[in-house]
Amino acid sequence: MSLSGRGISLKTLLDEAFLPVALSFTEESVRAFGFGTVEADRIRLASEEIFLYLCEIAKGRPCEIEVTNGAYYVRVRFLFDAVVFDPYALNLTARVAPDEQGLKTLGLLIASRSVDQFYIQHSLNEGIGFVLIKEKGYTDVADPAPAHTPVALEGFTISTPDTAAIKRFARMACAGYDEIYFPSRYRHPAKVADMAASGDYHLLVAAGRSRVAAPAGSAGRVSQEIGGGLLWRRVGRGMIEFFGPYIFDTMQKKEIAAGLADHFLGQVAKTNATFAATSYATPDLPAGYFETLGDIKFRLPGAGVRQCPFFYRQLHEDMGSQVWSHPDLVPFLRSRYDHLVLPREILTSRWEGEKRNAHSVLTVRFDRPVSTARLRPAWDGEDAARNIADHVAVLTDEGFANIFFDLDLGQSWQCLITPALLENGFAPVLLLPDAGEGDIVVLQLCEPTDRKGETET
Amino acid sequence: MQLERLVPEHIRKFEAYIPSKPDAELMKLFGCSRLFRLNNNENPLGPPSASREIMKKFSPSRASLYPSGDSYYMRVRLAEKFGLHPDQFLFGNGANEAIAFVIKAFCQEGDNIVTADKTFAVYEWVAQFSGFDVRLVPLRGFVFDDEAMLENIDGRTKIVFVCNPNNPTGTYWSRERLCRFLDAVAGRLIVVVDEAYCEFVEEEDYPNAMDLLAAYPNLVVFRTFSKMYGLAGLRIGYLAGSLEAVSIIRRTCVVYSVNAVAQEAALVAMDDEEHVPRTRALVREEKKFLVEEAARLGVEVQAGEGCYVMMKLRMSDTLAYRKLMSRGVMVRSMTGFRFPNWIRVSIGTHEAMEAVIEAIGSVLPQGNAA
Repeated sequence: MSLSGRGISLKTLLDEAFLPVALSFTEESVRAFGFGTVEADRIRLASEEIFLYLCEIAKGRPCEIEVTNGAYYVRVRFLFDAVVFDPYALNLTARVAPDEQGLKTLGLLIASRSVDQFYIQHSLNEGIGFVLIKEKGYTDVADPAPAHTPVALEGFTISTPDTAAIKRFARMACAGYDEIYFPSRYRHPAKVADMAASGDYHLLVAAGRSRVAAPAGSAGRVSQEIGGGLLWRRVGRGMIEFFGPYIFDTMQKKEIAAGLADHFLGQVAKTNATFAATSYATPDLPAGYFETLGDIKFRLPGAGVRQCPFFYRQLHEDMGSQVWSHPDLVPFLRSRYDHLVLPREILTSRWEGEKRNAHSVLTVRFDRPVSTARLRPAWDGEDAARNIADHVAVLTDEGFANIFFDLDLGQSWQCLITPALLENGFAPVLLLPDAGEGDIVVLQLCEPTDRKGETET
Repeated sequence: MQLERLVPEHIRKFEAYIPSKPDAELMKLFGCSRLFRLNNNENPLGPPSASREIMKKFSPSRASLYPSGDSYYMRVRLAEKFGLHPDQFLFGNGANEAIAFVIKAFCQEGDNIVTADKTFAVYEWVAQFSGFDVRLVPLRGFVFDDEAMLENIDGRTKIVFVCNPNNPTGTYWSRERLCRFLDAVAGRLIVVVDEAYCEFVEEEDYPNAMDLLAAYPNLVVFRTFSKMYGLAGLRIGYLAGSLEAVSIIRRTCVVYSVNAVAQEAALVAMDDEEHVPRTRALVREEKKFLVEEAARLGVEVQAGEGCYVMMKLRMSDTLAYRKLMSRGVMVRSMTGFRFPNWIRVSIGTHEAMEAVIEAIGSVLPQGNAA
């Protein structure tokens, strides 16, 4: 067992005899990191399913279990080598019984139900594994300060806020913006503070003195008002996802929005991220700073369909590149590349009868709070169409309203999967430049009623 | 292998600098039939004629022999020119290498450097990938903020980098201001004054930092042959300082890194009396044209000293870069300099300046005027 700053790990063997050891380790680690009984119990439940599943597919092999304290979440990773078992077992549907009951009792699905996020990691750098993420539960505490009063600042400076300012900003954003602009996951001020403390999220606020004098007797009132803010996080290798700008000032909306955008871009410009994007831009997003990538129809259970526009900006000069595509995706890509003025040479590839693996492997990432599942191919195979259909059936049955599939145009073999995706009702909706080895095309499972005429030409 | 686990934390976060592809590749990808490179502040007139002769006459058989390991004749010549000792100079494969020499010589774990947030990026890069803290001081009105830089110095600050004139804003510290800063530092740490563009400056109050070396033993001056002398492709630059400072920096200096052609071409370049005035005249004239035309387009301009100007566009500079490339004009997008929506245009031939104005005019969104 080893312990580092934010994490602790255990090396064990995949054998049922060690199940109690593994479960005690995960549960007690979660508690030791300061999380409550609910989080510890959920992690224990999910860990049991994962460990037993691994014992089934790789019995006797070594496994490393890592528990990481992310401040606002706890993450458990089961890392193992892929030497002895058929990678087909990584498919969510690998142990599906042919009856409907089989779908509902899948170990991996059961594990995913206990946590907020679950995904199958298949990375050259970080190895193969199953990952569970359980977020901390937060209770709302009433704020003595007014949640959202119109602000008028004399002047402002932009800086990284301290914990108190983060919570104040979160309360003001909650009060001033509904969930299509300020997402549900940020609506607990203490959680936003923990997100920033974890280093996963970053914030900037514009603050200054109010033009309006504080009323007599308001000794406890803050001397600095927050006129606006913006937050962002890193997603994957090359993307920065940002949210905002949220503007509370009534007199300097444009100046604060542009100032926040300038400072934000200044902070991320020299990171190794290749672009910044958002699907939560407010109406105050300054003109000219970002390009439109396209829209996605996003469904939330009980909340209807939201047309979700994506804005984007490259952080570096685009030097141009070659991308791989199946011929069926070329019209979509051409229209996107022309719109974005992206220099790309499209090389086409398709399956022409050459030898192919028997089984494909898909990895899946669940984000239950937003009813979203995201699939990625890890391995091509002759059964791609069937495998995708099985996944769609399982995910639909599980109630996921938004099912996406990411194709990496930097990996030629992924072209082979395109026909199977189109056959199963997926359609390209978004192009994310340089988001993977190459550009990534996001395909979305369309509702049967949406499918007709949706393919771009 | 999981190589990522072997990588130090400060390198994991570090972004590799990807230089642009060769012109032929870029023209193919962007679908343009010609390309004006206006992104690297190169001299449109090329090298002086004497340097051209050196290159023409260089015997291929000499390629098998090592050059002078420490640019001996260059150091002797510079000593004569500036009235210093040859051992007060160190050469590198471009001035970028000299930046690494200085940082390696003086910094250790826990140390920091101080520079501006919007300046030549290599000071910050080298310090970061070497594992040292970088304190970035915001420019004040496009100018290095001397007082704020002094405030940011602490007991672990080893080097302050001042780019004079600043790339990309073209602003500079006068002799009086530079001396006041050096006096305030009072020899506590190394002050690097990067004079990569000094030969372009014609203002009377602009300091020649070489003249200050005797008075300030902690001063290190960078110069290059890549800009005014048009030898960017040969990679040769140097630093100068007190005997004590240079003898320390020499310990981290990579020898034999400057090739024989570069040394010989640079040696004769300094003696060409017509090259500098000719280049200055071209830069002066074309910069005036560019600034006037930009104003006509309603584009905000920041034009100071040096062979470049900055323009603010009401659009993403990385999008502007792609659009301008598709019209055969390559500029520097400035997000990487922390100037989002600005571009930097190198001064080139009149044909190139006309091309850039035409291209900018065609890509600007309606209502770009500031």
